[in-house]
Amino acid sequence: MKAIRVFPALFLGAWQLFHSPQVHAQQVRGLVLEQDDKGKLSPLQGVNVYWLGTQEGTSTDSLGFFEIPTLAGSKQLVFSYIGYKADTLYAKPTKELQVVLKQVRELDEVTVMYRSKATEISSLDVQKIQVMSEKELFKAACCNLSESFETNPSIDVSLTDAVTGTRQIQMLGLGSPYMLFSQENMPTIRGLAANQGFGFIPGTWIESIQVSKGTGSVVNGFESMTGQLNLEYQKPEQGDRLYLNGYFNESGRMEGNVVSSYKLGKKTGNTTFLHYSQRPWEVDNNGDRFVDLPRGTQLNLMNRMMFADPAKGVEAQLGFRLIQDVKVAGNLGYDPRRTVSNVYGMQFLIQRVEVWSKIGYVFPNHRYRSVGFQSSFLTHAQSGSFGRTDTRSSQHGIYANLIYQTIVGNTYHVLKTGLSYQGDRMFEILAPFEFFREEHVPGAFTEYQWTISPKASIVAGMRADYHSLFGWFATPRLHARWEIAPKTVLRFSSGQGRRSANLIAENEGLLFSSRQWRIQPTQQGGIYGFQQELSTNAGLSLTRNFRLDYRDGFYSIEYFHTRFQRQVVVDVDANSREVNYYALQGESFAHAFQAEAEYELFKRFDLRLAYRQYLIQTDFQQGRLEKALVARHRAFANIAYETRGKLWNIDFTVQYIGSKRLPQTRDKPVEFQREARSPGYFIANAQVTRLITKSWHAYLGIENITGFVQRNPIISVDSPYGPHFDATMVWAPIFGRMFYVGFRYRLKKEKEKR
Amino acid sequence: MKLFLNVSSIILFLLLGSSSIFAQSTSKSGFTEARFVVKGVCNMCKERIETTLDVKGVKYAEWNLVTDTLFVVYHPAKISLERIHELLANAGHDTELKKASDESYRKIDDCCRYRELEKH
Repeated sequence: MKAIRVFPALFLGAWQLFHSPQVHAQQVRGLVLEQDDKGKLSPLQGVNVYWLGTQEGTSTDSLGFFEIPTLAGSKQLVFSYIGYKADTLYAKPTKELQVVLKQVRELDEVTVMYRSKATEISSLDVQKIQVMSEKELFKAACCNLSESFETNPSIDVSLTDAVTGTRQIQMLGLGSPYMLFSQENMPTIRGLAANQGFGFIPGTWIESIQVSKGTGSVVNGFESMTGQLNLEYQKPEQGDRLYLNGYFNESGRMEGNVVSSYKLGKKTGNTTFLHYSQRPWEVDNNGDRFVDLPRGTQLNLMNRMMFADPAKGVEAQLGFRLIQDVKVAGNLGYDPRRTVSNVYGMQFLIQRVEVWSKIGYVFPNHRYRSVGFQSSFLTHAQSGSFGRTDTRSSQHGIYANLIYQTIVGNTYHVLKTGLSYQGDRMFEILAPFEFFREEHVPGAFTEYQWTISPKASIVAGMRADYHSLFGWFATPRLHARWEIAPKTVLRFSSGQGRRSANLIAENEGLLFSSRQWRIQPTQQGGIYGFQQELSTNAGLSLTRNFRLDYRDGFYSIEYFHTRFQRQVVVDVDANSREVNYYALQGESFAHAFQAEAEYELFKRFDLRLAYRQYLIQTDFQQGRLEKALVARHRAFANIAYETRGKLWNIDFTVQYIGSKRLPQTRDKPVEFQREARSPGYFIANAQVTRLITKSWHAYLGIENITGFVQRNPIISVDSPYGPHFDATMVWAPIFGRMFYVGFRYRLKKEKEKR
Repeated sequence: MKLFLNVSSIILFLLLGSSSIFAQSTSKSGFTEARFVVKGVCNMCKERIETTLDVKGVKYAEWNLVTDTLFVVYHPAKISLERIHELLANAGHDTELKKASDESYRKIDDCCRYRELEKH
């Protein structure tokens, strides 16, 4: 430890040399060490050391020493080693460097490098991964994951219907069920929770979110068809001793969150999460006698315990979560305990339990070799009534994943291989339908990462799974990264993905209409008489990080293409009083293009601009149509300003949401017909946060400043049991301008004194 | 005007895609770079050092926790290098040229006591 303190002093004499030109063929020398949790330092062998943005590199010897000739083009040295956080620093030949690498505590597949940007893209990952930090999540203070993406152009948020206020998120223009959603790299929010599940993750519980488009790693399964959203919860190690959050908005929603992290001994930590929210009263701003947002309560409790013993190379965690969510909506004055004819009501109850564990072992003498095992169990039960339709469903799921990681020869060749099992038992009743199914999918996977040079790398993955209903199938994936110029990275990804469509859970919103459900199965058995959905995705992206005039920024352009080989088509166009489900015949595809730029225009003033375009079409029985209720164009601008001293934070977002195709209503009586397309519109949000003390923050915000709303979102609103009732054609907000206030209180852990 | 300059330089930058032309333009705008040692031990120190230099005349400040080096870009006509050292010392951090008074050193958080503690 003493060595570190000595060396800055040696730097003292050298500082006059700053403007002197680089002397060629000089050597930068140094020592790379690792630090265990007791603070003991020891040399680290085999660490990759290379000049940022170049192929010039070396690695450390058995004593942790390295020597590398200086280079005219690059001044920053990157130190990377598997299982450790990579480090980058400015190096000068005048002094011997001493670098201490820290071990990555998690079994993460994703390496996250933190800086103070709210959202950033590392140029080192093979996949383009956008990391949304807490700072980004604070920009949209309300409330849960489904609302966290207001400032993220990669993800679209839309309402599933005009009754429940459920927000669905979309990536590459396709719904959330086509994404793999994981918490700390274990799949979650699958099956029945596909739509509602995003409302079960309070924003204040989240430490960061990683967003990546295109098919993901085979290590995480075969399900990511359009992309992956991974979220990291607050952790015992870094979390606050106490974190309180309170929120209240104009619609009556109130919310409280408590997160507390504490140590249970030297190697064990625990974090407890509690969330309670409710909207006790009815709100009907548009006067259609339907409440704009549901009443209800949610109680959500989670606990996680983490154990880490870096000396022995062991870490483990155990967690559980309990959720109860009740929603009541429909006509004003609806009381679930009384049935009144011609009063439309909706009530819905969800109860969910999740338990998970993780254990990881790093071989102490071979740091590049590790074994990890993840497992989780879930029970989900939901029941409710939508008008006169009753529904009840349950899901029991098991997930297990065993991952072995090693290198082949040196750290430029990394191999991951393992076994997985995914099992689900689903039971769904929606009169007159009754479905039961069991799926067991054992599988094996291998992924090979080849770092050809610091500039280029490839990840090739393959999995073979056996599905108890459909037999064997293979899932290939390929990712490549090439730094074509300094800080300019070209990425390619392609692969297949598949999943079982859960017709009822994913289309719950369609129950808020008089539409008859018609399922046209293609086979006996299967899932509702259908095969699994299968798609191929390929994408290309270019990202350039730059520093201009001492301020950081980036821009990126990307294009992704998804094409379905098999799909269960949801057809709301054949007949406005039916919804038809049948197997795809012909083509179904989605083109997605996005351009994005961010720059610090002035000191502490960040500007982000984005534009994205979709072309999504499907061959229905009656011909090819553009996907309904998805905007073809969306443009977006966000400014974030922090005052000197960081006392005030101001955020402003404005978005343009383009015209959307509406499902056809030509076969309805004239008074119930709607336009073929919705108009485009602007939405603006603003928020001000004030730091009162180090611990207390208060915020005030306005959502939908201009108060733009869709008039008459419900067709045939006066006779909800009539033949033309339809509350599913929602293309804009229903609730107008909304003020909200909230506070955060964070009590940091006392730093340990050494 | 400043906005216009920034915006136009971004556009130029996007079009040309080269950072080298701007590396030279910095001296024209009157800014000077400097690097010197500032004592500190943790990320809280980093935060304090960088925030302390969020003043008029300083365009950019980044402190490296591993090497204790501060990289600062400033406008000599608006702020002197001596003043920058003074600001840091007043905030409790010793620099190459100026030692913090015991009084200001005592004001920094316990975890930042670089005179007694080791890097963490």
